[in-house]
Amino acid sequence: MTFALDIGFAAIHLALVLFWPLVLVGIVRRVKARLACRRGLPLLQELTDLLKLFRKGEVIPDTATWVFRLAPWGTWAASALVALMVPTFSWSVPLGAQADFILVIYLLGSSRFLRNLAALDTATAFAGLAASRESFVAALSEPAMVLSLWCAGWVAGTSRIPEMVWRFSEKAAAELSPVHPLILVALVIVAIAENARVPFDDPTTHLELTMIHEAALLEYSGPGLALMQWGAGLHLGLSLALIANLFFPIGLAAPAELGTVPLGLFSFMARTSVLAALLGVLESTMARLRFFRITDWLALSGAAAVLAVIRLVTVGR
Amino acid sequence: MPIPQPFLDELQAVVIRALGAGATVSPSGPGRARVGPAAGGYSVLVPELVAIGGRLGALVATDRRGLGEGLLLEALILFDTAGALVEVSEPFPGPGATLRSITARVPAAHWQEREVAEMFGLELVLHPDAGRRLLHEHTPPGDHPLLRDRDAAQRLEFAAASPPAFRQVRGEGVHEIPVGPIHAGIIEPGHFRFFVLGERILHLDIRLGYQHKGTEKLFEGKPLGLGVHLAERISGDTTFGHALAYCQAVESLCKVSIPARAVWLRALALELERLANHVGDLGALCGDIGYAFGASHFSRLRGEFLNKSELVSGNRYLRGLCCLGGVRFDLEDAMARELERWLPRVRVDFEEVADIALEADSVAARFEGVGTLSPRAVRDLGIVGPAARASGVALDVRADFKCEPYRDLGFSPVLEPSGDVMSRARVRFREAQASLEMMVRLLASMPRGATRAPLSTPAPFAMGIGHVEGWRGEILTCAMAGPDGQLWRVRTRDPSVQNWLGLAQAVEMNLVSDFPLCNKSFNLSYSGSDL
Repeated sequence: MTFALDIGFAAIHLALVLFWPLVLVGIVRRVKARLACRRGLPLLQELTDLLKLFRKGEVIPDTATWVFRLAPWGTWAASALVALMVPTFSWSVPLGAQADFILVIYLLGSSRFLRNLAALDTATAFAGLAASRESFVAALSEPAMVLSLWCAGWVAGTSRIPEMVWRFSEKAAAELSPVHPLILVALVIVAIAENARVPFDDPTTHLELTMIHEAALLEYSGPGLALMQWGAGLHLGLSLALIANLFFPIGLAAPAELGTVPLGLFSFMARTSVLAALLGVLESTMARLRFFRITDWLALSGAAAVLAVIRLVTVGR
Repeated sequence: MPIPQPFLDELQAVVIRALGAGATVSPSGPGRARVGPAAGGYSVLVPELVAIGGRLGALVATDRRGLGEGLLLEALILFDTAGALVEVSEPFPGPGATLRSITARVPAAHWQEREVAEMFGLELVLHPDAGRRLLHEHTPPGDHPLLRDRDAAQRLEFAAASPPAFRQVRGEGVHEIPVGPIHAGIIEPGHFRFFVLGERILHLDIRLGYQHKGTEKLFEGKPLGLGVHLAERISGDTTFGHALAYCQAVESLCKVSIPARAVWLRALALELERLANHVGDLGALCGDIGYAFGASHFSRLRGEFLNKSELVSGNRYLRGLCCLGGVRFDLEDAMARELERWLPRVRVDFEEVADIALEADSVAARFEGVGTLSPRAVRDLGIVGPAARASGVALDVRADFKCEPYRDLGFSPVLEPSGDVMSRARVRFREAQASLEMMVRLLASMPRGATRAPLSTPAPFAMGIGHVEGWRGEILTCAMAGPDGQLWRVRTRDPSVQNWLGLAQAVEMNLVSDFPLCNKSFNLSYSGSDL
């Protein structure tokens, strides 16, 4: 019976991590459209787009090698694997025992690494530029991410993300450590940067020379592009899930308790939707940063993480 | 307006110094004077005129071999403070003759010298950048489209390509980024070759000509009236500006005086076009930096101006409004009242949006200090329009040449000091405000009467000049008719021709990722410069 429940939980989790991000992308776009006095696209437009792309043919540059073909699958798989480790509606996840934060960070890192390799593989000027810029952003955001998750782990007394979520959800808000807001600031900035959103990057631009993330995908078409876009969607979804569950762990379903599932689902969807809407508001009210000013924001994120570390080392949780 | 006598005397002294005692300056129309044709009339005299404050406007070459002469190169030199236009000319025996470049002394001649050389087969010497630019590597070497014996219907041969000549920038870590001519957005084609060190632009080489469609050749032999429609299509966003410049040129050729009401209506349409484009540009600038609020609200406002253009002319881009001798449609009283009611409303709306958008910190952080163009570069390169005024150089045909109705209504150019993207954005914002104000005054002082005057027969081979401050800057159009009363030669100098090099200057040492923003802040026409 528990086994069947576990399978059921895993199935819900899987459906949620794979498809809910597509709705979140739709929510961000819808909020931006509404703030611009437009009606906006249907919430499931991203899904429609992906289905269309999967049915299309693919054009592969003459200069590309197997790296170019492998990258969409590799990046998608890495993001999907991480998605199995980050809690959604319940703190229990299919790969809970393996969900060490270092593994999570570097699986995401390898996904980015593959994408950059593929960009260089096409030997086009824009993709090369994109790879260099994305590495620049990643090199600055990664330390902040490692440090802040390390702090979260210290406070929770574990290095596994689902356990962190569980520990935090057990505590009342008042008991939470003062390092929490610091980690929140650091992680939010990192999440915006790594998902290539305004003010770091503009996902809607058509100007190749300003692109960071999109320029790496310029040579992709059809199913390859679909996987890349879906992978980016997964990344956004799990970033929002991580923030929602680490800092606002409300109404999480307990493992193997069927009755708590509806509330867990509702709470998760509501919390991530609110975060997506906030992202939409941020994107509407702010211009992009000048490329070399990206460092200011990432330095802020790094500083917040370092402060959290200092607090933990000197005072304790 | 007649040219002031002291200025004419000074001009005469310079001309004698440059060309010898025989050369004289003779008045050739209101505000116009001419010198020559004389040997050295271009290569010797033009640098001297520029040295005393002249500005190179347009180069107009004509193939007069059918008239028993050779090629004639005329240069229009503008003296903005005196409000005078001086035509100087130099004859050449025919294609293959040597044209001595003055670009080293007058950088503003850079683009048009190459254009003349390529189109008329003159051999350009001493030019710092003599590779072919407008006719591309696939054009056979001997094909010079604007020579009169070259049939317009003859297709361009497709010759084996020689590699395009780009300036080379070498050094450790320097690499090239080729962009275009096909771009990701729906924009015109042009090739940009960046030489960068990391993210910093060391040099930008701009190669245009992908939209060369033989516009000037198409004018030849057409009836005068048909030319208006062709002029409207020179650059889609400046439909009215180009049509007006062409009409002015032909009207000065036919010595027609335009009814006051038509002059007022033309100014109204010109300001409406300026508003739609300036507001659209502000939106596009916001779009480039991912500032969704500005992008959407400015483009909504642009729609308002386009709709009112449709109200006035039946076309959102004012096509068909301007015609020889006046305007084709009168402004009905009901329309005028609607405009009067609408103007204060749209002004409040526009200023509200602009206050939020241009004052936002994140916008200022992107606009300020980026793509700076110095006043010296503006003067040297002959930059015109808002791009010049944003660097603090007061240059506005509406004010300098005291043309109606701006003379009566009082107009002073909008200036911003710093020459960066923010300045160009603020010039657009304040010019849009000034245009709204001007429209109110135009409507209040609108004279009654006819809207169109009949044309007389044009004098053959005389040059009529149209001079208009379009939204992008000064448009110069020269029209000449043949003995049959049809067009013989039309030359249009779009403001973009002068400003492209300004863009290349402004982006140097800026970040590659800021290039689209700088480009948008100039917003130049490819079609207008490729012709």
